[in-house]
Amino acid sequence: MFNRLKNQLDTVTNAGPTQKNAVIRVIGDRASGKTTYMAALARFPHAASNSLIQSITSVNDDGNELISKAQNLLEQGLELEPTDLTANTEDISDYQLSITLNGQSRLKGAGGAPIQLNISCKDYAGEFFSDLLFRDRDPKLADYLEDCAQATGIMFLIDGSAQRKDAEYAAALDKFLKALSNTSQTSQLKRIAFVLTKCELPDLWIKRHQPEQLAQAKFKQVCTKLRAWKSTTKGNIDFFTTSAFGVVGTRFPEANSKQQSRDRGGVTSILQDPQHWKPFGLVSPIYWLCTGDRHQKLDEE
Amino acid sequence: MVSPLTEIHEFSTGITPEKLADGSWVSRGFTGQYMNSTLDEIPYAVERSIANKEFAVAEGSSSKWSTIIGREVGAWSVLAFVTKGRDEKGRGASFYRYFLTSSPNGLAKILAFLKEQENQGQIISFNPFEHRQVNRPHTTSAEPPKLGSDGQIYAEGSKAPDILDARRSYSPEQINQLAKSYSQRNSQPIAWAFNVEALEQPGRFQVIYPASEAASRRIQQSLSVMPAAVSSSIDEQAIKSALKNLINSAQAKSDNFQTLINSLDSVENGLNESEIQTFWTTLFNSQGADNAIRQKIYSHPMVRLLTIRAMILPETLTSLLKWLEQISDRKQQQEQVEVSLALQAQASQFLNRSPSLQYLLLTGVNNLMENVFRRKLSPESSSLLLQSPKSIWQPLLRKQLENTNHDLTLMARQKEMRVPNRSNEQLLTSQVWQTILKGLQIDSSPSATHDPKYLALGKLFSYLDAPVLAACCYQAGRGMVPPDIYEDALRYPNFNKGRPFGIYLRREKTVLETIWAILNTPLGTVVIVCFALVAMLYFFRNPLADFINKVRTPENEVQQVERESEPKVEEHISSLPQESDFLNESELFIGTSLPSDNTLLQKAKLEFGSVICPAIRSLVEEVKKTSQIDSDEEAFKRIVQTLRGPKEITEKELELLNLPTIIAKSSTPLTDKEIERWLALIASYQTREELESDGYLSNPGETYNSLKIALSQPQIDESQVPDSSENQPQGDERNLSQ
Repeated sequence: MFNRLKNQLDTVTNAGPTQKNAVIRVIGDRASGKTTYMAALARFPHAASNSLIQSITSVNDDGNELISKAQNLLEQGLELEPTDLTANTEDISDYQLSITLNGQSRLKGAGGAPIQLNISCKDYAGEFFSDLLFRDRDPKLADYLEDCAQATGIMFLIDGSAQRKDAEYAAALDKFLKALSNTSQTSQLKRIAFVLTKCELPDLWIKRHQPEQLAQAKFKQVCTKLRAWKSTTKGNIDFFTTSAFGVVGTRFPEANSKQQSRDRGGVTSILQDPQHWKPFGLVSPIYWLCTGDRHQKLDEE
Repeated sequence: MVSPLTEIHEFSTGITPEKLADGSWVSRGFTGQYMNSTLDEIPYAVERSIANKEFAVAEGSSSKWSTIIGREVGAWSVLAFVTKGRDEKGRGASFYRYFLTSSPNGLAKILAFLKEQENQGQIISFNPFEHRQVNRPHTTSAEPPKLGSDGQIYAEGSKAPDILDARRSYSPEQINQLAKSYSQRNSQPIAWAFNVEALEQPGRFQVIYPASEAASRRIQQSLSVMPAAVSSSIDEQAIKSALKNLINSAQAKSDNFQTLINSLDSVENGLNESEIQTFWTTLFNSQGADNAIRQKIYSHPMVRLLTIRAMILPETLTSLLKWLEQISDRKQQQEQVEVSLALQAQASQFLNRSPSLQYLLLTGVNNLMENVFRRKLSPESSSLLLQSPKSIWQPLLRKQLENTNHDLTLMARQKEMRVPNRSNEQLLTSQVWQTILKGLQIDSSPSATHDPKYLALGKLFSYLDAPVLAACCYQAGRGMVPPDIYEDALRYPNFNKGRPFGIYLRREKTVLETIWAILNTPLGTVVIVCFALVAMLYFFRNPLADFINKVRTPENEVQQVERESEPKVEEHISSLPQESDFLNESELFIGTSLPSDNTLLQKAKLEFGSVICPAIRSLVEEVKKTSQIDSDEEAFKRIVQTLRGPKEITEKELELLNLPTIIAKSSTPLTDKEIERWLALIASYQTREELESDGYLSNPGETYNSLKIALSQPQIDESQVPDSSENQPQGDERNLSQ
């Protein structure tokens, strides 16, 4: 039946970009920078002219709201409000973004064609990870886990400066992965990206190009749990460093953020200089979640 | 007289609060459920209204004083106090304390109660430590104050929301009174906002009192970019949530299908015709439907979204198929088609329960067939969708074929009786489809003109195992029916001995039948005799040659050797370019035909020199103006190419059009044949562009304007042009396809 359509379509000469898709859930502690990461990604300010990333566009209204948040709040030196823990997972914003990489991206099998990464991404309230997982009888937990089971990739975001919560995070992650494997729906999960955020902080920035070593040094127990999950499933894990605010200056870079508070759960900051706002490493985990391949050049921008 | 007691309930945003040393508090996170509630369960309508963000102030907006939102939701009057607080990380957040009553004039009574509380020294704001018990609502006998004539403000006009002047001072009671008068005028529930910086849904209010002039500007701006508010009887957020779940989930919950299908009726009942269209279009676009088409985003959520859109907005079914056709990677295309079919299979379970959905799907099938006729869609891809067992449109195909048969029968009866239909029987298909069906009942004589558009429909019907309809379409499209389709149609009762629906079918002869027919004529007898002679010569060739050899002279021998050394004449001829390669006109101008209406044709012929030629020359000037073409000849070629369509015009074709005579404005008139070629070319363009196909071109005129626009655009590959019905900016398409 479909052969007929195929034959007919052989005449279509417009090759277009190679498209890769992922359904992503962003999880992590409260104030770990999940919404800020998403807003910076959607806004994608001040891309270099030689950037591999040709464009990032919002596909739906939720994505547009994210861009508005970046413009009206982050760029104004304000911080984003904490994401509400909605009772119904269907009411959670689902950001649909389309990221186009130019022809130098060298994806296996793509030749020199541009690559389009289409993501559908839900950013859960931090309370899901910090509290909900420990409330066994909460009906919302099952709802959230079922929603998570739809994801092909998880972005597990941790504030890079919250190393003192390593054990807590490892316990929560363990509980999450076990609960996910017990959901009534078959989990589509293939990859977990372990993403360290707020890497504009000096001690993280200098090691940003060794994400696995950095993660291992700061979050040893989390890494062990992730590796255990990898060995017992067909899934894959990888490590990333990101900064939603980036740094200013090249010879002596300084974090482009103004610290608001600091505790054992990490730091909260606002953007210091919107004119020189240049995030770091935002697309690399998404590329990996979409393709399964790591892109060296994306790790550098 | 003692006023009756009014019960006022309350509940607040659920947080884990932490009391600080100075008595203030911070949030240590949301709990995901309401707290300090006097209700066991929050009324569903109120919960949905909150989920619809009808009480929500926009993120980042902060006001020194509490913002108050008043709103009637179903049987409840709800008043929300919005307080800005902080979490332990120092992040600002909005916290809500809701008061509600089911008493009539409830908002005024809640305001009176709160005034009473304030007079007793209570501070009304969100307070996580002000615990409440379920089933212990507040009771009050406080009556709303009567506003004196100087305190009353009046609605000016009926345009809502009325954004009040932030520099003037108003009380919440005055705002409520004003909103009430607007609500009576507009037949909308009362909804107002007091002292707001920004709102998530400003369009859903009758009156807004901004906290400042800057807030007023912000609200005005967000109103200008927001789609118009929908009727409060429609739970937009619930529909949106259901849609989001369906598009993002490979294993969609049946509840979500149910919500969506139920909403078909609620939207139908709550809105008028154009509002329904706007509501659905806006909803699908809010989830990225137009972007998916324009930017060619082929993700599973987008495939599901466009599939659902095609179910609910039947006119978009064609664009779904065209969008899927455009996927260049075969494997990916197969995958996306499967995603669409899987969703259709899931939705099919609800088909029998929803007549509204059945109606929409039937309209979709009807539109699809119309677009095959218009050549906007291939019969192949349409039949794929209509025949797949997983397709939700497949069950409606039979219905559409039945309706088509019914309408054709009725039309035939009316034609036969030469009177309009006096019975109560109605035609069942769309107006457009009826017009297409009427075109089937044309003169069947071989000399009659035929509309080749019916051939695509014939092909579609033959794929769909409807050979009688296929036969009728072929008859209308080319004046005869292919033998295999004719034979198939024979088996059906409505074939009616070769006259289905009063349409006389002529069966095309097979090659063998054609030969046999020729042989049965006197000419055929001559041919048989000639053939027999040739055969005899062939069989007796060798003995004859032997005989000739015997009498051959040496001179003859030399000539024979020379002849044998030359390539065979037949081979030589076949190696030469055939006349038909460049001379046979039937091989040229494929896809063009003269207008069928003889009167129009005559008019066009007569006015070729006086009207059509000047129009063409005027277009030449336009081309030279809008493009970088300087020479008349090049401009003419560009026009001819545009008329010709995607197939590149050949030099021979240009010659046959006698271009030099027109360019030179020569007094020598074009021959009738040359004029006809021009008219056929213009008519073919008009057919493609769905203009009146009369071969006529005048300045000004519809065809002229269409050509002017086409010529002003850069030349592109037709295969990449998106469906015009989608109104897609072509620039984007091209950029992405590069």
